Amino acid sequence: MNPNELIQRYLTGEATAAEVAELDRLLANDKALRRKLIIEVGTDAGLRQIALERVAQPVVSAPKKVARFYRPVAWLAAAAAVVLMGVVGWTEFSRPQVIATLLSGENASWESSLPTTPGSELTAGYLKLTSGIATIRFRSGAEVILEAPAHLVLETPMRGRLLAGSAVIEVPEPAIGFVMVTPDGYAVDYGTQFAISVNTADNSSDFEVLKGEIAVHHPATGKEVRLTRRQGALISANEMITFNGEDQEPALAEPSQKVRVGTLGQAGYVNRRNKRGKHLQPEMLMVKQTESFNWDMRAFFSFDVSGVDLESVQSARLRLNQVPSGMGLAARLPLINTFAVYGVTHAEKETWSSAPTWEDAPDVADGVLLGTFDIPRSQQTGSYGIENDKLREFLRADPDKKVTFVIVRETGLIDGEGKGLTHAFASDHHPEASGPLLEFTMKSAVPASK
Amino acid sequence: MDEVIQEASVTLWQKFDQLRDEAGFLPWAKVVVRFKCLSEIGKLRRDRHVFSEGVLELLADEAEAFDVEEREQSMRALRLCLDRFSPPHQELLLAPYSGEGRVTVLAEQAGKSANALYKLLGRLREKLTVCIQTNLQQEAH
Repeated sequence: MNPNELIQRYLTGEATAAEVAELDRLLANDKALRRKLIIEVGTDAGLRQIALERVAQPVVSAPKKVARFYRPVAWLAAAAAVVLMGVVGWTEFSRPQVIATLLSGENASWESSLPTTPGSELTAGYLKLTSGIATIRFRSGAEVILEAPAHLVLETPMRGRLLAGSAVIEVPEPAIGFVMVTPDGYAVDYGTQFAISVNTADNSSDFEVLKGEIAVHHPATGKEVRLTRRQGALISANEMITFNGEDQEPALAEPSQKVRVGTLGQAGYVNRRNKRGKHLQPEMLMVKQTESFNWDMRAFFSFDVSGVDLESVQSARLRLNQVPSGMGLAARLPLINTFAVYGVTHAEKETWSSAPTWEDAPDVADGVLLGTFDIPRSQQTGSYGIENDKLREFLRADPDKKVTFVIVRETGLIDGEGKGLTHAFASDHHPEASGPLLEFTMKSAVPASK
Repeated sequence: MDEVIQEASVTLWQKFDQLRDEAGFLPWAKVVVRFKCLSEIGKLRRDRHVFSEGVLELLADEAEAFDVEEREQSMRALRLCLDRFSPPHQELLLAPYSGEGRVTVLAEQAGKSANALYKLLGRLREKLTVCIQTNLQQEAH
């Protein structure tokens, strides 16, 4: 067995007595091999530290917990690691280390296990920014301006991981070497300002240097490029393309193909009282559930999907853009309001007259439940909808390539005075927001290998 | 292992007043830990495979020859090199330190034998070592 193999077996605790004796004999006479073992032991200690850092939740205080990570067999490794790292460095592991400070938020709202008030000290963990902009300063001095929706993992003072969203990163002198990892690569910063954007649809990431210099690594191909001002790189699972930022945006060889279909005006809503005229606004699709049921409203709309190759659809999304209805009080609603999307399966209910009644218009009883989505009562604009296999199957199974949906609000009012808020989604006639859309992500001709 | 460290640090605090100045603290701490480790090794020798005392002394000397800068360099090199591996390979490299039985779990997930995964781990570790050494040599120049 060669000495390298012996060292590996020794460190993983697999070596037999005879193998250890052989390694011992070799080490006694070979200074270079001893140095090699020490470097290996250092690597061992380093990997152990990185493993600890990568545990998403902050490592909590009790030293016993930390000890759990040490394999008893690798005791010499640990002993040498102490000598290597010094006793002081060792004790650092027993406390959750502050990695960064949250400097400020502009309209920021979070989903996070970490504190999210400005000024908070952050340990290793996840930060999910759902809206707004936030500035985070790593202990190394690197500053990250995060734009929602974004998902950032704080790993060490010198390393972050961007799983989704956009960020502008500014690295001062002392933080040179700061690493920002993305799903398929990472950037090492050489004192600069650069931007990263991670597209969750295909996990591609886009790096662009604003000033200074960075190196972008693409482990899958082993490529490494140095980028300076206005240069950029776009990476996906299997390739890396560089570009000049002043030129046009680059495109990956296999762009994820999106096809969108609108309702072409085939949309409407009804109220239970069958009131028309000023009670129906053509630019909106209103939904409501009341306690008296008198002013209940439901919306419905159709799409012609004959132009879409449904067999090649990878995923389908129904998108609705919420717009303020200007009617009723949000305070009468529960904090979270749930909306249900039904797919109409009764073919004769898929068409309606120019002024359908509550009774004639497509209803939930004419179809199947495809999914639900929630809107907080505080929210009056935004993009909502469903994206799931049920929807895709429903679209694929539809015989006439005309698909119809019904939207209702499942949640009603809470106790109190005054009219509850009516929710509204844009129709095709809305001046600002787009009407209902079906978005199809098509399978690429050549399946992308991961 | 943690008992060794704990015992060593107790000894360390007991002998604290013997330290002349602050600068002397760390080297002294190392000596104590080293001494404690060696005596602990003596106890372990009965039921485990360990190196001879002479070789351990030589190894400790070698380890002490590494200065702070070198340690930081090798840690940097390790991080850079680790990132060159694919995420599943990174996970495997970290598996032995991510809790008891992690390698076995990964093997089950991948539908491979633990033995096969240890072999792969060995090869990955060699690659990692080569990368770190190359990186350190480059920095030395």
